[in-house]
Amino acid sequence: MTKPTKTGLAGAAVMNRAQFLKLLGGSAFATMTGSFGLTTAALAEGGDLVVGISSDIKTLDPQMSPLDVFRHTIRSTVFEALVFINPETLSADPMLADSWQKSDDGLTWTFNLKSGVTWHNGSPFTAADVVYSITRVQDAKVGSPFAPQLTAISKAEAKDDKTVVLTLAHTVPGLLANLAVIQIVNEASIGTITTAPVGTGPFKFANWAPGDRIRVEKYDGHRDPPKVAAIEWRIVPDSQARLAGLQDGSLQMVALVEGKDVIQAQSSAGIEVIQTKPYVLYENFNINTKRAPFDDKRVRQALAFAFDRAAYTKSIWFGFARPTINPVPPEMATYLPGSAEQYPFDLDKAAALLAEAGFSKDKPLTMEILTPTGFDSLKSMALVLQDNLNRIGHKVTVRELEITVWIDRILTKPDYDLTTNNYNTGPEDPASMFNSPNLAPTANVSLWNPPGYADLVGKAAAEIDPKKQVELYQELQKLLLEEMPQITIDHLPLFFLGSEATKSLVIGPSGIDDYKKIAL
Amino acid sequence: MTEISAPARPQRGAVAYILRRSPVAALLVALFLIAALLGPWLAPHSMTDTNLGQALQPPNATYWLGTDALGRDVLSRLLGSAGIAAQAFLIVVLTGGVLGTLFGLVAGGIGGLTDLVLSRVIEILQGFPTVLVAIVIVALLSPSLTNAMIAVGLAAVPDFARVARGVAIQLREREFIQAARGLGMGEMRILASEVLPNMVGPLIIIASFDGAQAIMWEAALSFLGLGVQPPYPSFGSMLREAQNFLAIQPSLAITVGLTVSAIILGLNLLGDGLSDYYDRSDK
Repeated sequence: MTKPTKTGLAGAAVMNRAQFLKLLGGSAFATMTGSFGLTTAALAEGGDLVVGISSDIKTLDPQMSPLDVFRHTIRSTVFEALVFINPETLSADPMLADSWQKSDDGLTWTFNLKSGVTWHNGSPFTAADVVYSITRVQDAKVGSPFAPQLTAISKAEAKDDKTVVLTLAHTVPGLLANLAVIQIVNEASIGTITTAPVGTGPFKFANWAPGDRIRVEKYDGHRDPPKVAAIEWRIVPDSQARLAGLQDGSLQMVALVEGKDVIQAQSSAGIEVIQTKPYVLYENFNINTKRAPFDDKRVRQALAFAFDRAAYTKSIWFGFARPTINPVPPEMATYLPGSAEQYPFDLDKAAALLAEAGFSKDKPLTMEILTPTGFDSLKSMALVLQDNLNRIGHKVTVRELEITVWIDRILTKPDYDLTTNNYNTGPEDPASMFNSPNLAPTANVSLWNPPGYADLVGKAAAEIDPKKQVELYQELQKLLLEEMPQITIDHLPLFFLGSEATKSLVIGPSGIDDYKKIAL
Repeated sequence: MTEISAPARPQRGAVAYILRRSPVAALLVALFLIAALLGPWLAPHSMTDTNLGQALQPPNATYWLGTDALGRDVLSRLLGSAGIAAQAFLIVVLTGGVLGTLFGLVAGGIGGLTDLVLSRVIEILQGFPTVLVAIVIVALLSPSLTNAMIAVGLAAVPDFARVARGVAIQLREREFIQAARGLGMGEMRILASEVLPNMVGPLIIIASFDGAQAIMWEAALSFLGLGVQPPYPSFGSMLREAQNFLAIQPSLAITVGLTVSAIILGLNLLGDGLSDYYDRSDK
């Protein structure tokens, strides 16, 4: 209905910068475009790939931050894991491990490592590094958010320099997917990992100017060296500025953009949209289930009813996102049929549930929704929920926080009522979602861990019989949808904007990308 | 001349003068006042209700200025923003005006060491970077219009103080003041009843300029998310949101931008007009 006018308008309005300058004409502008062209050409010749990202990373330690920006920057380039999840097949390709075998009982996995791999400081990569990395993530004192991925591993040992043997406490069908997000670090240089990280990846760390840029440079000693000389990520919080950068050539690629940017890019000549499968990410509200009144599941269910997911995906994501209340996408075998449509938008029902929990116009529910800056769609999500609840008489405020302050409020302290959030669905392994920081029974943003939940997550992850595993995961989804510790809103792909040349970027489903094939 | 008389107290005729000399200023300021005072009643729709089904509508019969990304009526939100802008104006002019006038009046009227000390304080205040102070205050307290505007109000103190001090020094030796002194009036009473009424004109001029500045600062701070908090609209936050859709729905940013410009233009023209008026009546 409104769509045709919108795209029509966009088509007329978005001439690209070159056309605009041409239109203005005049010799002054000709010189300007001339020099513009020069700088872009110079950049391209030097082979620097300049990428715009919305927010900064928080640490350089690949085992410590689950942040999206971090996955797509340092973790994707400076470090490598044992295996790489192929975004097409969703199965594991060799990375630092050349091949692997598991024993008949599925409890012993032997990984044969690639030979000739060296760390960026020149020292050889060995099995001891893998053992060290796994035990470091598992170490409670280190506090890695990736620890839940490795709970099944009871022992990691180096059989020789090039062979690692992992012993499991119980079987896990998704072990390779788990290992794909565990970056291997170098024990000898662990002291400087937060200032000068040393990895085995195709790029070596050059510098990080917090709040400004992150730079990595080609590592010539890599077995499959990249084609670009360097990648520089510029932190540009404003989405319009990122788009403008792409149009004037100061950025060659923009990572993780939203529907509105895709719509604008589609109407500009020369900008290519690079995207993943449509269910790699989900957006959600996390609810602090330890804080009254959100410890009452009726309140949480009421909030789920108070959001129009279909309208949100249509207008804020321009249809690029798919509404759902279940974080598990229908494409996964474990999906609970028909669950995506549960909790349809119904303000009366929300009001009734809140009334049951003791909240009404006379005794309104007072709460604050946090949202991190730089994520416009998440902010819209917060504003829509706020408005719907205020309309039925409650008192909701929305607070936008800098990402580091936001992390402090929701993870470190935690001190929040509700927050917007997004997370990878982890389509390569059904266990991955329930071990993510959003839902892991050991520690999750919603502080939610009802009796029996941890057992069920463990049992489901360990179940080898596919049919039984599906049943267990469906039981988990029923629990999740009944308890509503997080309100899932939609599934969406990851979007990057770039040029024909950057289309060869491989965006991994777990956020680990492959930049090696890009040639400018 | 020995005739003892206070200078003409200026109010009378100012409005007529402005209407005659700068009708544009009068019109723009009047529209702003109407929007600010009657906005909630004039607004055709709710200024906070979202309606995703009607997002990003171009201007049409139902939504005269279109809708924003959450389907909220732009015209209604502009009217709401005018109210916020007027509040910003008032807070800044009141904080800056009251403190500044007091400082200036006492410094200029009493002179000597008092003047020396107060003048230095004013100079220190003048050195404060407005935005930074505003950001610090907002960070210490919490983001809100009042907090942000008090910071901007403090920054306006020197403007008022300098004018008040200048007028007070000028008047201190005038005959009618000396006469008052001769009649046995105390210094403070003289300042309040004789000097203060004579600086109203220049202070109003400063108020119109600093008030216009206040509206700009409010927009700037709300643009950064430090002013008015959602769901309430403000020119700054509307502009921030509109910026995301510059290519899809440019009318969003244009309407907000034009509205703010018109208000600032009106207030500045008003200030110029008043300035002319008082210059003329002084002579």
